[in-house]
Amino acid sequence: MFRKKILFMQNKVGLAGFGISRFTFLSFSTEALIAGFYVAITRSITPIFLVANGYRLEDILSINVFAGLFSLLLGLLLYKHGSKAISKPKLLITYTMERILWFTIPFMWGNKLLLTLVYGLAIASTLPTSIYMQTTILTSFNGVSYRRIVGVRSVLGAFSSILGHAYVVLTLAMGADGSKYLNLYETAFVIGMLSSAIVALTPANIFRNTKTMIRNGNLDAEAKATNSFILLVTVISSYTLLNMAWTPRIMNDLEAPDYIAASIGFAQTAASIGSSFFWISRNTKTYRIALVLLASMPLLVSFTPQPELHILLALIYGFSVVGVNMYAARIYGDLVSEIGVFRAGTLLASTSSLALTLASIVGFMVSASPPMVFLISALLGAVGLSIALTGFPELAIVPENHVQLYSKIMYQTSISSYNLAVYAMSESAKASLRIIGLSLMLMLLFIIYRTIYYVMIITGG
Amino acid sequence: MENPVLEALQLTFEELVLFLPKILFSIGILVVYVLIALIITKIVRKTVRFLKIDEIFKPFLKEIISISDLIVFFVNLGLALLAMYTLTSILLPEYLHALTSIIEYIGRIISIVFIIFFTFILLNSIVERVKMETKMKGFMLLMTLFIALILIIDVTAISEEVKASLTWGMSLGLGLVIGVFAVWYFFREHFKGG
Repeated sequence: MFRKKILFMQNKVGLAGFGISRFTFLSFSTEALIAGFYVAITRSITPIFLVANGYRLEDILSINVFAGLFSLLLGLLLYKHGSKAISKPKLLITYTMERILWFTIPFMWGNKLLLTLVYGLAIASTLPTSIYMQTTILTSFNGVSYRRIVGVRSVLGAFSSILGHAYVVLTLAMGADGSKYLNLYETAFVIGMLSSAIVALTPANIFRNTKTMIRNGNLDAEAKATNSFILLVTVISSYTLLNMAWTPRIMNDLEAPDYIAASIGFAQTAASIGSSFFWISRNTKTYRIALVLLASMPLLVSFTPQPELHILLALIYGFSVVGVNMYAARIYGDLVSEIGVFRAGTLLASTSSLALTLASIVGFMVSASPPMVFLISALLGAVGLSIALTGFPELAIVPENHVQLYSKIMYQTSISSYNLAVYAMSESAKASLRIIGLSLMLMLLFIIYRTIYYVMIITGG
Repeated sequence: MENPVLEALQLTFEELVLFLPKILFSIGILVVYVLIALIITKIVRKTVRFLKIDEIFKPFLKEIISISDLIVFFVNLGLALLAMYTLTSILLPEYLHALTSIIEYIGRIISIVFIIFFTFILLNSIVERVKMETKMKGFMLLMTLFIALILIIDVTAISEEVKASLTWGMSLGLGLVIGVFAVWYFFREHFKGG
């Protein structure tokens, strides 16, 4: 254990000592810049493409539930059974596979089932890419440099995301009906491949010894990692749900023109560019502001009658979301030495999958009643805020000994809930697999004996 | 005249040469079937072990029969039958009808053996659960024997007329015996009183 720790430290110092070369920094930054454009196009165009091909909101939500569950299963499998050593080919393959899967979506529209499957796979494929990417970045940078690269990547990603959104709007407005979607997917694929090329150019030495960077931390570190995971899941679920209901609220309830609705997303992205610089090197207590703003936003959105004010709310929201993301990056960046880089990366990358699943399930159940969506989003935000203010010493408003107690209680509860959920899921999965296996065998027997029966009839039995 | 032995040998070899391709082809087919059977058995056993399918039936069967063994047995039996049909259709196509009749006949015998076993097991379990008098046990056994005899007569080579009259007579006798027994069983007090 001690030897492992030394190896880990040496490795980390070694990598930092190389100055993680500017080239690596540049390569990860460029990757974020180029990939941001590809992500913006594919993610924004696909729901529109699905709706244009006759999918309803319930269909899209149910596909998202399937995709989210599939991602979680994949994440769990990778976490438990996947190889922990991340290599450049592995990252490159998952990275390129994700882009290919997203590109195949427009060719599947004829078959609803196949499209659902491919869309689900495409969304699920983002998880391994994200895990490997997060882990690689966590391996390559530490402390302040890690926060810096996360900040720079957020800014560049947001910038190219705006360009991507603008490109989508222009193409949809001016393109020919039949080919515009395909053109967008083609462009995204080419750009996506370009970002794959950037990943291919990344120096291979940063992937060294990722296998040694997996460990079980002490109870405090484990509790912190788990509690951070829960905090992020609640907060991101609240964010996802709010974004689902925001546009219908503005366009249907407040009867605002569509450009105001379009400005909401734009304002959030624009705010995230400026705010990244603000949040990079803040005092930890400042992140409370981000959490309070994030938790109160669903109710503010729900009760603000002036459509124009919503743009201001979106700006504030974008600002606070970046703050929370930065805080998450900070926590996991600090936890790397305690719980290992692979676990930190996996937990960080899995939060959005779990949040997407949770938000899609809730959204699916209450999609008929928009006020309920706001209420649940506000509740999730409030839960996240309470967790932060009671379970995290650096954010807490209660005495430190209470924080430790609450933190441990939360950790134990979440661990037992997790065990129960995993047990229930694995048992039902096992039962289904058994029934499928038995059915296949009976089918085999049926094929053999039905053939014999026909042979006997043909030969005059 | 040449040596008749040599001539016969020559004729035999000529026939052998004529049949050789078919024989070789049949051997090839047989090898393929054996390979398929081995592969399927292995896959089925691995799947059963991996998915623990036997555990689904454990509460019902209590380790008397293993479902995986049963599946593997029936898969191999089916493949053996298919192999037999394939080989017969290549080597002796004119005997296909006979083969079907033989298989049907064997099937009937097996089904009768199975029914007899099943009836005896059932009878045994009823006798164990319900406390019966010795006379009653004897009566049940007699009935089972008669039913088994009717089934055995069905597969024997005796003429259809004799078969029909024997079966008819036995069934009538069985019905009468059951009727008399029922009357005695339910109304014996009345007879004693009279």
